[in-house]
Amino acid sequence: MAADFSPSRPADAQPTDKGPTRERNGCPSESDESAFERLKGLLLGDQPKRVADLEQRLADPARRAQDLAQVLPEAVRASGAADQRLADALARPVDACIQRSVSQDPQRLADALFPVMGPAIRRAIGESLKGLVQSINQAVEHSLSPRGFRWRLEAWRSGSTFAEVVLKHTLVYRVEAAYLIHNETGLLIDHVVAATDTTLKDEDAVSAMLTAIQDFVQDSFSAEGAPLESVEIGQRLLWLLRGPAATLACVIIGLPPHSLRTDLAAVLLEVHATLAAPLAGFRGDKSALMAAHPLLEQCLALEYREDAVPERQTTWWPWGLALLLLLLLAGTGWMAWQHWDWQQRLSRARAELADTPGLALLHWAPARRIDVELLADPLSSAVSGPARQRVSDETIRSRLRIRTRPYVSADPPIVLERARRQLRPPPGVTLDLDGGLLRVSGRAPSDWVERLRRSPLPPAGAEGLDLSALEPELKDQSDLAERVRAALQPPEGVRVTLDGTNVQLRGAAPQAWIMRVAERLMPLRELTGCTDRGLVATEALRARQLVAELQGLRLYFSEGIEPTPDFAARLQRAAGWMRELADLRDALPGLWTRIVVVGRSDGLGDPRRNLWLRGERASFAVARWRELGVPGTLLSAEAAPDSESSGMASRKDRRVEIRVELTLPAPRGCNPPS
Amino acid sequence: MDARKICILGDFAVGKTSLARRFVHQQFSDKYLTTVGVKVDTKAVELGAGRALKLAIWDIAGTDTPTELLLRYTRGAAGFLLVADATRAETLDCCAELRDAVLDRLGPLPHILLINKCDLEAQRELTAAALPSPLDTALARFDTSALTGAKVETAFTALARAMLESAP
Repeated sequence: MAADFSPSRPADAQPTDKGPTRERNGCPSESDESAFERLKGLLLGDQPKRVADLEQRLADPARRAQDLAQVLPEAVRASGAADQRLADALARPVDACIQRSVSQDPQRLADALFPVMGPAIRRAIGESLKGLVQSINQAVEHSLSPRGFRWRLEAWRSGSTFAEVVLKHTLVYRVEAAYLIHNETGLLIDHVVAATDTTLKDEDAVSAMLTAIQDFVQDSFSAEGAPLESVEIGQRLLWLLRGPAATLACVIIGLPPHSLRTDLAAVLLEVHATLAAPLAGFRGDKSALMAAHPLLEQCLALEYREDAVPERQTTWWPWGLALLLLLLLAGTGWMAWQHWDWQQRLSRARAELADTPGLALLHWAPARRIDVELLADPLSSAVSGPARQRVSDETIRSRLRIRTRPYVSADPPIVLERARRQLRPPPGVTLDLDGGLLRVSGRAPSDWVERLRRSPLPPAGAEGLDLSALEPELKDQSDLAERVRAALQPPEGVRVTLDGTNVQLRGAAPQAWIMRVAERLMPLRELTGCTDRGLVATEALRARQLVAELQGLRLYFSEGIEPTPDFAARLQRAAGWMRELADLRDALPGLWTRIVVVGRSDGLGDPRRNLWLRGERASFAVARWRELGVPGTLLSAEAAPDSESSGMASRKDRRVEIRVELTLPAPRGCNPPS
Repeated sequence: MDARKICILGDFAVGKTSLARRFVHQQFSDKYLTTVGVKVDTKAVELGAGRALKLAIWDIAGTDTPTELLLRYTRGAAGFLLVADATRAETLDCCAELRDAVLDRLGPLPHILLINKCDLEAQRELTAAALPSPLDTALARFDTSALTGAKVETAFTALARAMLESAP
């Protein structure tokens, strides 16, 4: 410290003549005081004044604080360089200060720490994203697309990870405009626009509205510290990055990666670091914030266009890969088609064998050689040819290895062949299988027909023979008819026809001749049957005529049982018919008849008498016919149960009539020759 | 061009939006559309002597009591307009309440009182004599009409000039 030692008076100077005054009366006088002062002045110079100044400076806290402020920075620096005592001493007070500051206004500390915390948070997020990148890497690692190969090559050449290259190529975006908005006033500080169609009509109004919206969001959702971050406007994204004093709003088209936000945050951070003071004092004067413009332009540089990365040297990749895939596909297709075609040919050959008459497929094992085991009817070769030749495919035929075992086939072609060999049918005869029945049809020599009919054994595989459509040849037929007629010697009125070997008889013939028809046809063994449904015995015809005559006859009475005059003639005529009818019983064995004579009366008179009259009249007639030679066993009398007339006297009602009960013998038939 | 944020405050249906529309677009519509939240318009005003200012006009939804959102909207304003309805005397009380809340939050700010709808002379309730003393803090008072445009431009220009002159 500089001291004023001006030697205005020597220190060893003697007192003046006025000095003894104080010693004389023990109480200094005013002159003594002044003398003393002068003496002090002589002895000490300005030291007392300086001491007083020092005392005053020590007593004044403001002066002392000023003095301390001048030396404190140097003192702190010196103390920090010497040891840690100052840091130890300040640790607790500084800690308390920070706590108090945070409790009073956390935003202030947050604003202060923003430049420090921003990079730290970005680093932490970057670390966490590495895990995501690794997982994406694993997810797309196995991609086999041409583009995947191209990107893998690029990653290999550039030394980057594959996931980084994928991210770089799949995210296409561009920052079209950036707006720097003052948080407090909502005024637009500055803006840059890359694309003209993104230009806003009134940037100041928009920036103010964005600020208002942020205020609204924060107020509505009570989300202090969590401001609006992103807005979608059609295909564009508006990202809002809020700093302590200003908000960076960026219009982005495309799909921006999250790392873009980190880049934009870095720009905002730089704005705050560079323009902290002008931002804090901003009230609308933009001139102080001109330096923000070049920083904002950095935002526009953040873009990526996929077509901006030409990879011409690797364009052969997709074509080569496509050609390879095409060849692979063609080869696979050709092999598949070959396999499918071979299987089709095998199926066809198998079906050809299995469908061959007389062959039964037991085993089919296609490999390099095709092993086949068959059951083969001996006639199969004759019908269908050798089994091997049934396979039309030459390749397959050459690979067949056939083993056969004999069996008897029931396949229709084989059965027919067997029938042909067994029956040896002459020309004109057709063999046909209808179900299990072997139908033999056509015309054949009568001796062949005769032989076949004698031993109708069906061939194996057929259930029976149907010879109904088989006829002897015409020459035999006419000869047979002659012989039939000769044998039968049919009476006149009988017509003999031949239906094949069946004799048909029509007309009327005496019963005695009819009885001998079967016997007469016996020698004609070619005949297969005889039909006599149209043949009637002449005796039967006569019997029916007599019955009709008798039943049409009426014998009348006058009254009582007195017959009318024509009674006798009619009685005679009827008696003749009755006797003839009785004789026919002998000529036609099996004929049975009964003649019932029914007496009738008119409705007049007492019914009991009338009933008596009816009985009497019938008995009268019966008695007369017996007298005339009619067998009594043939006749019977009967009184009609009631009168037909009702109160009218009629001659016609007083009569006798005849009811004949006739039973003819059943036709015996002309039995076919056995 | 420098810019300033100003707010238009007042009770419901006093004509805040109509005033802003008249000032910015020189238009008027008698259809009443209530403002939701806030609507922002801008207009540059010439103040003479080569001075100009771009006003970001925050037309804040009418309210009779100051809310936290309203005060948040006023943050950073360089001045504000208080609007009362000449046909409704009670809207003046609302202006006083809003003014107190804003000044309490933002500190001293230039502000101007507008008595709007002065074209409705027959229904007028507010006269110059009826103005309470607390509103004397306003730099000026204008009887405006968004319908006719009377004193609208003058009021906004006066506030712009006051803001420019009060700037440090």
